[in-house]
Amino acid sequence: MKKYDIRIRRGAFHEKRTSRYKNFDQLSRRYKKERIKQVMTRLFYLLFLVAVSVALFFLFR
Amino acid sequence: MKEETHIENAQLDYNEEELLLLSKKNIDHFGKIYNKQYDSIFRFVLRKTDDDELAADLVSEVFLKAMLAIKRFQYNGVPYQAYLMKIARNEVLAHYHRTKKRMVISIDETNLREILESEVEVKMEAEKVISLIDLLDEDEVAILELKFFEGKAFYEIAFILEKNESTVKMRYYRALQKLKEKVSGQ
Repeated sequence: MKKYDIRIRRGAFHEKRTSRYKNFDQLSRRYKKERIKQVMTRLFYLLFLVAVSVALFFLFR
Repeated sequence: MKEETHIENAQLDYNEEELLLLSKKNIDHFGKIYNKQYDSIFRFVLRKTDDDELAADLVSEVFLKAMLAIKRFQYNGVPYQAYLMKIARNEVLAHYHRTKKRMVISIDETNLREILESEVEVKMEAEKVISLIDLLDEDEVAILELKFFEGKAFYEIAFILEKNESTVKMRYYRALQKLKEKVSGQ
């Protein structure tokens, strides 16, 4: 079995082909959502660490 | 007019490094990098997928990852396009790993003929080349692709593939030698 699926393309690639996918506003909205998720996850870990630290403090004092 | 659209469309004469610094402070500036680099990254991914929709999805992931990591990015003289190609390559490899499909290598016929004539010094039918490319390993194919189709310098290829520059050069010449030997043996 061949390692690669090699396809020979005839005809040049046209830049206009990409224009319908190019959308920075949409990507920017996705980025903002992902950033919120990232910050929330970090906050959750931080809260978890604080909770564990407090629990350990009261357990072993 | 929204502020982000204004920034994106502004004809600012910033160089790449300044634009990256601005993007770290305000992500809306990234729009200019996005517009400048989109076509080349799309073409790069399309060569490895031969599917417009799939390429668009993967490219979108590439830019999203680049935006999320922009604050950690350290400019070290390697063009930002090489950094994006490195993410794109990893995205494509992850896609093939997930789907367990054979990697697609889409080659432009005219381009291929020119390369064969100038580098391997041979005139050959494109179809015959397919069997020769199959002799090369994944890294060798990637090096030849980046060198010939993307026109990348050795230091950029080394950065994209996370290898030493001298290793890349050695593997490049070895791959060409391998192709020449096979062609002369046929």
